[in-house]
Amino acid sequence: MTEAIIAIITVALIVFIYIGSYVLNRRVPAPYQKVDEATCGACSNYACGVKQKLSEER
Amino acid sequence: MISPTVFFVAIVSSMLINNIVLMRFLGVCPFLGVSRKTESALGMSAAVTFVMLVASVLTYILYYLVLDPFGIEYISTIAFILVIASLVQLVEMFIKRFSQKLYKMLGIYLPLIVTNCAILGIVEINIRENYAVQYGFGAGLAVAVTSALGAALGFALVMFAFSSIRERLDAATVPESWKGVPISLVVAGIMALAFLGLGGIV
Repeated sequence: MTEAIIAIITVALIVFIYIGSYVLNRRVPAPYQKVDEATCGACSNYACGVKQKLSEER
Repeated sequence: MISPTVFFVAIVSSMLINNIVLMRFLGVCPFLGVSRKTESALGMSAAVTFVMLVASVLTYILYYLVLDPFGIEYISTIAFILVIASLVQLVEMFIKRFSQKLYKMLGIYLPLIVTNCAILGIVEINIRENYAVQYGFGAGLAVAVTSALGAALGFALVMFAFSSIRERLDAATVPESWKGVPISLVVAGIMALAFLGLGGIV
């Protein structure tokens, strides 16, 4: 029983550390990437976030 | 006191004889995916080296101070994956902040270091080799880190060599059906054969 509790606490602690590092990473803004509109327009992946953002901007 | 030979053997063995990519076939995804340009291959190697070294230290300490004494070794794999994932988040944050060019070059392969089997493989090998039992906790940690450093250097060496060859292949006359991935895989096979020749040195 004690083993199981320690196992759960250990995993929970590491998950907490992971969430912390994830949140810190998300707070740092990604560098701006210039998208080539011609290439983007030729692509047929309509689920792509970049494509959706570009069409919204237009 | 451990003989320096142990460290030499650990580094040469994991770098050349048991090369993580060409002999153990771990980390093949970035090996093929980020080896188009030497610059990005070296950036990837640096990121993998950092994660591999820090992950080796943290997982070794976690295993021998928490998991082993409490008899909960069965959660080692999930714990190690979480440690590696946290480290990758920190590396991504660092690269995003200080080297935007490298961040753009690595692209999706940067967060995918989490799923790089080479890192988890080295961490598991270090535990399975029982360095702590053979040399004691502190010295075992040093040997484990040396072994991880050797593996990381081996990964970097192979990435650099393969990316250099691929850059030259772009300018070479290759039959149409062999262009791209097929000729790259042939090159990788020949490189693996070359590394096989190093077996038996140590």
